[in-house]
Amino acid sequence: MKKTVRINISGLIFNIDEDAYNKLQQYLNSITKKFLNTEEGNEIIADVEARIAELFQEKIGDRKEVVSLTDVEYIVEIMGKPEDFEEISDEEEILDDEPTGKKASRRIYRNPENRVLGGLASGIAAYFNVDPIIIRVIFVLLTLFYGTSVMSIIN
Amino acid sequence: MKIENAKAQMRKGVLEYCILSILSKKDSYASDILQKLKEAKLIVVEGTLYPLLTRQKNAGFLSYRWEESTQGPPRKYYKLSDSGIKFLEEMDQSWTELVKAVESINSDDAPGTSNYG
Repeated sequence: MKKTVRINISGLIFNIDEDAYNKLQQYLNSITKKFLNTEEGNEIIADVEARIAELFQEKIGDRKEVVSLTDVEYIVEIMGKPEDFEEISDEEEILDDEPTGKKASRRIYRNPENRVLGGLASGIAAYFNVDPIIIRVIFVLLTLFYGTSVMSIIN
Repeated sequence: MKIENAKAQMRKGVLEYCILSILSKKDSYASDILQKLKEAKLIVVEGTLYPLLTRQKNAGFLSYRWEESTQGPPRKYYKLSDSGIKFLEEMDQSWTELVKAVESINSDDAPGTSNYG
């Protein structure tokens, strides 16, 4: 038995298995990172989400089934890995055996799309590529030990 | 310099050119463009296409209108703009020149110039 989540993607509603939801969210986050909140980036992401909704519709349709992990993996295969989305402007972009270098200038952003209070945990999580829940748990633990001083960072 | 980088660089310019060329023949959805590319054996994943289409649109080479779909959310129906047509003509020229140049270099038969024996 699995827990399901109800999502709204591009105006369409789907029921999705929790593990599939996590993978999908991770995928969308890593793509969103590429476009860093520019207006053009938001257009691109909207197109991507619309296409994903279309693909879900094809797979699930009127059968009222749940979107599964397999379905999400299928979508990732069709749409491509996050690396396939970026524009290759210079050689530095595809260096996988070089250490941090240029990437050190990457910044942490709040993520208004995935927020409980201020989107801070989601932004930090996206930066470190971990699930936001881990960051939120850390915040809670810090607050318990150090009091309201931590909560004041959030707003 | 890695071969993946070099190949990707080459493909990227060609891909943008091909998108304009496909649209010059017929107004299309992104999925139609993808299909034509596949037929021509230029394999790309959808994620590569959307950023390029949006950038070309923002550069003024394409326009789109929304079309309702029974298969899901509304879709963008792309069309080449006048400046897109002009840009394509220049790319056609550039492509022809490039191909001629490369072929001429590759077929250079002057003695002592080949390392392949």
